[in-house]
Order: sequence, then C-alpha cells, then structure tokens
Amino acid sequence: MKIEKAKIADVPQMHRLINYFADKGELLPRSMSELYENLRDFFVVRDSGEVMACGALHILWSDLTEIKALAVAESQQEQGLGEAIVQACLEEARNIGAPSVFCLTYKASFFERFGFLRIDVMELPRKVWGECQRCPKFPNCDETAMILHL
Amino acid sequence: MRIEKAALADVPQMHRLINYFADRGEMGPRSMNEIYENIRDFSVAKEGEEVVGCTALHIKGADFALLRSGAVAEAWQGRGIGTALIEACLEEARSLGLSRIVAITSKLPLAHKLGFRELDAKILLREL
Repeated sequence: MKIEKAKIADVPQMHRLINYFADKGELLPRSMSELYENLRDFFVVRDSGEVMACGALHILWSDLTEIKALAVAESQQEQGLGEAIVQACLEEARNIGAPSVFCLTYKASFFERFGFLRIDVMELPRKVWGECQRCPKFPNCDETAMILHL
Repeated sequence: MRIEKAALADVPQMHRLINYFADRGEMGPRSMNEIYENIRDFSVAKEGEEVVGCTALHIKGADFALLRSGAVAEAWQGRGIGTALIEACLEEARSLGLSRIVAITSKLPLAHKLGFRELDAKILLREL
C-alpha cells in the first residue's frame, strides 16, 4: 500500500468515492471543480490505478488546519488505509508548520486513536463553518468536533 | 537562495510582497485569507527566513491551471529568481499531470522564453 499525493487523473475517481459517502449523509458532497482547485490538499491510495481511499488536509488560517473528505472504498475498509492517510496528513501538517489539526467527524473513536480530543464545536472559530452552510443538516450538526495539538 | 513550497510562517511576508506590487497596479491584490486557503499553490524563494519572491500555480480544471501572484522583491530582481519560481511551478504542473498552463502577464519576453505563447483573451475569459 502506497500513500501518494493526488494527481489530476485521480479527480474523477475521488469525486465518485467522496460523493458515494456524501449520498449516504456521511460526508459533505464535493464538486469536481472543488477537487481540482484543492487537488494538493489530497492524498490517495491507489491499487492498479484505481483510487481506493482519499483524504485532504486543508489550511484555513495560520492556526486552523482541517482533515476532511476522508473516504475509503467499502470493499477496502478495515485494512489501515484510512489510518495511513490520516498519518500522512499529520506529517504534512507538521511540515507546513500547523500547530494543530481539527476535524468534524462521525468516527470519533477512529480519530481518538491518533490522539485527537473531543471538543465543543463552539470552541472552534466560526470560520470552520465556511462550507457547513451547504450541509443539509446545518446548523444542527451531529458530528463530533475534535482537535489534535501537534 | 532556495525555492521551496510555502509554509504557514511565510504567509505574512508573501502577503506584504504581493500587495506591495498590487498597490502599484502591477498585479491583483490577495487577502491573507486567500493566501492561507490556497497556500498549496505557492512556491517561495527564500534567503534565510526572508521571502524574496513567490509564485502560485492555481488549478482550475483537468487541463487548465493559472500561473499567478508572481512577485520578486525589488532588491532581488534581475537575478533569475522569477524564472526559477516559474520553472518550479511548471515542474509541479507536469508532475501533477496538467497539460496546459495559462498566465496573464505584462512580461512578454519572459513568458516567451519560458515557452508560453499568446492566446486570444476572449478564449481565456470564456474559460475563466
């Protein structure tokens, strides 16, 4: 298993993977255009050219960095792909100089394995809601806000 | 002098550099927020901890990326830093699998030297 930075050719498959879970209400949907414009946020795991998993590290401000759009194809789950992508994101966050990383997730126990702590979403600046407004659940978010200090 | 991908600590200096030239009408202004949110677009030229130049490669689609926000501090101009920054962006574009880079510039001789050719602005406006 190899974790790599996403390339242009991965976008259609990343789009399909993320929106498969978005349709089930587990992730925010992403347009192709958004994926292209933020391509360098993304890591992917490929198997024979096929994208099996992806995840992004997005910078919002000097002290505000988020892991988002983490998705592992159902047939490939429980094999450590998601974990490997989170580790790659955390290493990149350290390299770019981020003091902490936050996430909004339905899989709090997964993120606890890396040391993420549960926090009240209100502790995060309102800026993190930038893309929440297009979530059908907003403002009644039922995800868990978590933060890891690096 | 070294060329590298921008880090969070570089942003205040990049912001100052870009807006110095934006104030003189030589390029578009960028907010601090825009630079943070698109930090992965940027390559910087650094001397020690000082940012002496920067350039961004902003991907718009499968075959369309914009080269933008290119700036070299006045005291450092004329040493090939801008060219080195653009070459770093083009190299990154190739490795990502992009096939076409667009730039809007007043520096035509430099663009020609780097292999760019002129494009009808009307075609560009439609795509933007």
